[in-house]
Amino acid sequence: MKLPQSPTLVLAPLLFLAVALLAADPALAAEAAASAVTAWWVWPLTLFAVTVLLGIVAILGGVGGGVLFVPIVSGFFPFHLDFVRGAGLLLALCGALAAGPSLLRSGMASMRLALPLALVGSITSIFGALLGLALPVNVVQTALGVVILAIVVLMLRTRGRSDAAQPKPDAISDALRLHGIYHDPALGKDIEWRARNTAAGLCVFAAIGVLAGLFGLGAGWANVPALNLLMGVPLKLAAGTSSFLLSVIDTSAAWIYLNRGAMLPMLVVPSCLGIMLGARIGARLLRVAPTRVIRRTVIALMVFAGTRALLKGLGI
Amino acid sequence: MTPDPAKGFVSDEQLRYAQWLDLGTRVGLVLLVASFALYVSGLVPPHIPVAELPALWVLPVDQYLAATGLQGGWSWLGQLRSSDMMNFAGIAFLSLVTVGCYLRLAASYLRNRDTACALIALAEIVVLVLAASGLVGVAH
Repeated sequence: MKLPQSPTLVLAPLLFLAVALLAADPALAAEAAASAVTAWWVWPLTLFAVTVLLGIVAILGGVGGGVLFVPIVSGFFPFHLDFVRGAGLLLALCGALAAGPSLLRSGMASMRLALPLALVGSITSIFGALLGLALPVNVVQTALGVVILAIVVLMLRTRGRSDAAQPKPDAISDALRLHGIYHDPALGKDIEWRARNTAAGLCVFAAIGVLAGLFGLGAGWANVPALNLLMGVPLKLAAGTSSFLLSVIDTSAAWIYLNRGAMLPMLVVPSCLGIMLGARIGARLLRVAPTRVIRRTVIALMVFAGTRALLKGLGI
Repeated sequence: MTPDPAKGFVSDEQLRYAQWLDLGTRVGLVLLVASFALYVSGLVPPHIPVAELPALWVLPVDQYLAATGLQGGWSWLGQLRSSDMMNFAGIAFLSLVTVGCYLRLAASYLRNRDTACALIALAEIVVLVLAASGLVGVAH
């Protein structure tokens, strides 16, 4: 495939995304739902187009699809937040399931490291999902806005630690043998790693599980800093293990939404297919994309979507 | 062909898990796409006419269930003749892939007498099955 060489071509999806979001104005959506002026198929088709673009942007910006999908779709589409959160979880789950096999085979994800963290996160994500479905929608929407804006602050302030300095192990890490070696093809060498602060890591993953279930967000934005900065796992292994963790944590929360009836196939399927197609395109564009510009654009998009969710939740 | 240097550092359990995950995800996606194609093509009639969806998807889930006469949990299994309910087969399958992989994983750990990891894997299966069972937070 011939790749575009100009940053303008790479940034075109972002521009189209902004136009698509403006076209999906919620006031227009509510009017359309009430008067049935807009044909039903317009919404899943628009959703598919937007999620393809979100998939591209998410890969290029280094964030998960769910963290963009939930605030943007709940803010600019007519679907109720209950269904958007259910779709957000399944979308993150599909992405993680699709990426899982190659990450596990290449050793870029560690199952042994993920096992205890996934157990804690999957238990608390059930409580998060139950809480999210019990709370008034304006409270969840407001909290979503606050969380998205907090993630932006985290993204701006956090710098990954890519060195493989050997931290001191702890008793839990030793007992569970949370250490190993992986091969980094980019560096052409084997990297030894050892987890630390395991007790604190388990507590953080308990909180991450609640947020994932509550807001329907894939929690890659939180997993990677927790694994890398807190537990001392090398950045690449942290990113790969995070993706595998999502496939477990999001599964338990997704079941709560599914059993509650908060999954609409007309919303879920186009979103999952769109984000997976976008992620494949994004992965190809990654080599030529102006990553710094795109990352800033993603942050701007998240500020916009987070503010929108906050204002919508506050009824402003 | 040069041997993959990663293989030496990846446990057999992890490789088998990847194999099951790959297969399960492919089957789930095929189910999802096939059932959605039947749904939107109109070849099989849905439980809820698609033209009515724009008036329903704006509702909170409780009101949506009341308006459509649907129930939560696994009730969709009894309505698989409707194309919209068929989609839940793909969604549920994808949500069960991890459980199947963990069953395989727990068996491997038990065989290798890795008690700690086996117990964690078994506990994870209990959590996921509990979530999937509908015993927690299902709509009535």
